[in-house]
Amino acid sequence: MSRTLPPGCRRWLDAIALYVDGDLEADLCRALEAHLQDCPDCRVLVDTVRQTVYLYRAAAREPVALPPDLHRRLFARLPGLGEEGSAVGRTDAAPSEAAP
Amino acid sequence: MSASVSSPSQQHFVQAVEAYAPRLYRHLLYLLEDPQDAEDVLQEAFLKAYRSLDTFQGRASLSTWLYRIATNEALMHLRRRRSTPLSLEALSPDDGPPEEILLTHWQVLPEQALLSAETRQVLDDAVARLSPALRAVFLLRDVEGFSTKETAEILGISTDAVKQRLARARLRLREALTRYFAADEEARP
Repeated sequence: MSRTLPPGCRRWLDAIALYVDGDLEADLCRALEAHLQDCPDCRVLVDTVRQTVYLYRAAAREPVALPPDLHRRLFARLPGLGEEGSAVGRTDAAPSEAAP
Repeated sequence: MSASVSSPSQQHFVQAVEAYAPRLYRHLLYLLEDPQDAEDVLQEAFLKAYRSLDTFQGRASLSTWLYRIATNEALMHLRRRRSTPLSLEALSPDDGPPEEILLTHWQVLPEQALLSAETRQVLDDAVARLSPALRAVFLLRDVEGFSTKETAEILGISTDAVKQRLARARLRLREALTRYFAADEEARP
């Protein structure tokens, strides 16, 4: 039978969700860490939120396949970037490596 | 195929398309949940960006600029598609923390999780159940890797709003994954 978070801990929910990557103001972070010392339930929550974020970030590193011919259709619509000429070549369905 | 370019700005644009199209397409696919809509909106976004090249003055990074255009196009598309109004300005009552937070502990090794098509589907379905307001923030922060400030710039909302939405999105996704992985844990001998 699965347990659920006690009502008294719900006030920490948003803070825990932001704590996992350090996106929390210093005062709130210290208060949360003091709470975590004594609260195994919230420590489970921290661990599983961290796992959740990790899984999505890992999935995002998988290559992305574009629909076939997407670039051709796109460039055909852009004035001055028609298919004739060969200044810049490219291949569809290339994996994404660019960083933000 | 090849694109014909006649100016440095056109060449930069072609390079930007090559660099960002796959990631923008994934972003739009998550936002719109439909491959054809994602492609249509991607094309519209690049067309708009191309026409606005002269107004891009480098105050924002190129990626932030492109994501802002593409995300706005996607949200306009969602507004047209929905019968009920879509607002990014205010959260709905459904965007609060989950009412019940399961405490089952679970752990997934990356090689187990990402090789499983079923797990991948669970991740995608959980994102699809988020409201557009939460989904857009989560995708930009945790999938595309933008900072809180960049995400706020892209969506035109405050950094506090980004943090609140990110927290709510992560809690909802964590709840969905807990229900899936906890069932796995309980099934083990």
